[in-house]
Amino acid sequence: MAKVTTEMLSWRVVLVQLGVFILVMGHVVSFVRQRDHWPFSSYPMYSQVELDTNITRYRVYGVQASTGTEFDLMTEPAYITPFDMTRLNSGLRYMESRDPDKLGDALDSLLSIYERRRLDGEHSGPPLNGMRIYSVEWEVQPTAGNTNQPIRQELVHEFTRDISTVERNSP
Amino acid sequence: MNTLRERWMSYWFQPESPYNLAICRILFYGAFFLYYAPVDFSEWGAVSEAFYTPSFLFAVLNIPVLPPAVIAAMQIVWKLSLLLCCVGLFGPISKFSVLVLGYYLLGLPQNMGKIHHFDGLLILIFGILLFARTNDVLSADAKLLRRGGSSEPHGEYRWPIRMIWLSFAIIFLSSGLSKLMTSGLEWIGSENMSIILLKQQYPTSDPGPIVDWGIWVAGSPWLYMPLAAITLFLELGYPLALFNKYFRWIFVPGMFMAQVGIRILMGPAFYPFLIANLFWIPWHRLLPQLQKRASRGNRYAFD
Repeated sequence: MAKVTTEMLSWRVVLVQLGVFILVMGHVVSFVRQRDHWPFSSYPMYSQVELDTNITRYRVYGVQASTGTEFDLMTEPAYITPFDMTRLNSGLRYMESRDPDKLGDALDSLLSIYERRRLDGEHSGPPLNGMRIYSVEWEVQPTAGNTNQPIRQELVHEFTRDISTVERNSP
Repeated sequence: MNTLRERWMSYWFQPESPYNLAICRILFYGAFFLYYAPVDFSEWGAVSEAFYTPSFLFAVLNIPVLPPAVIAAMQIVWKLSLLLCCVGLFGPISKFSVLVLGYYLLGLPQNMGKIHHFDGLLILIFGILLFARTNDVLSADAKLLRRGGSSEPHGEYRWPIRMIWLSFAIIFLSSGLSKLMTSGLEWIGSENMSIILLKQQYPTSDPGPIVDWGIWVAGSPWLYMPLAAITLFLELGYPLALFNKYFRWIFVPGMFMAQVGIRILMGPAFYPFLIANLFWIPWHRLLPQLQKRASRGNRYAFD
């Protein structure tokens, strides 16, 4: 066996061993509690067996100021920055289950960010004066040929901003 | 008992060249400087507090969501610190700044609806490197400020890399154990992998899969079941790479390819993990060979 250096200072050895302990225990605690303590985690993604062939996701639509027509904002990552599709879906679903009254505030801030970024030229989307959250459900097919044909689309919340007033409408 | 202790000490502190750690430092901080340079974290300051669900340390330390202008200033300092760490200037200060500001900037989005598992590893590595003697050679500190140590092999240059290996191993083991504890062997033996692959084809996450081959794999039980088995084997077996160089050749490239496969077939991008794999490469053994090749090339050129 190779000779172990005697030059390691003892407090440095203790420090390293403390580091190893923290690294291991941080993950063990997260694993036992099955909870994230970021940056420690039990890394549970995809651990649940998926046998349900339906998918339901919340999607955010923008309402165009000029025509009142709506379009899916989640087709373009720049429209929902700083969120990504997964995080926005999870955040809105969690909020809806815990405190649905906050959905209006959430859409208000998303709309403000969208409009500011549009005026700054960071995306080329049309001006919006409202946003809607839909619960969209697909039935998974072996060919995945129906990605544009959800079997259900249900309005969860709507937020409309006027020039001088703000309206919050729940269905 | 004595032998066990010696083995433990040897594992962590057997003298090693400082060049490997220094090259890892340059590549690691340099890569993440480039990776995060175009990322703007300041928008998170404008997001409604309705989204804010503080994760563990943010809740314990009562860390607030700062205004966008403050976050914008923080990210400039952070990115500059990453660059300073790459060139090895002001070692302790720049590494401390990378850790603390990085914890805030990378951690803030984790409080907004969902914890992503792409960059937690980076915080662990920032923390490990903060206490490591990364700047003893090949650094501005060593050249300009004459703060470098000796270039002789030392145990101080071994443990940081070993601890980063350990971080990889715990993460993948946790992931494998989570699957095994939650679902058992049904995770492999059912249609689970087929349905996972198919669900990823729907517009539910970005980035999405690069190609639609997942549909074809999902239709072939002789493909998706072995794929699930290999995934679990790589995750559960990964800790073996800590102790044996032959296992290292199986599990490290295997898991690397698995994460590349996840990106191609499913979408989720584990780029920070892929980049951090550079700590598995013995650069100090590789470089002399490269130098030899280079000098041989020169001789042929000029003879």
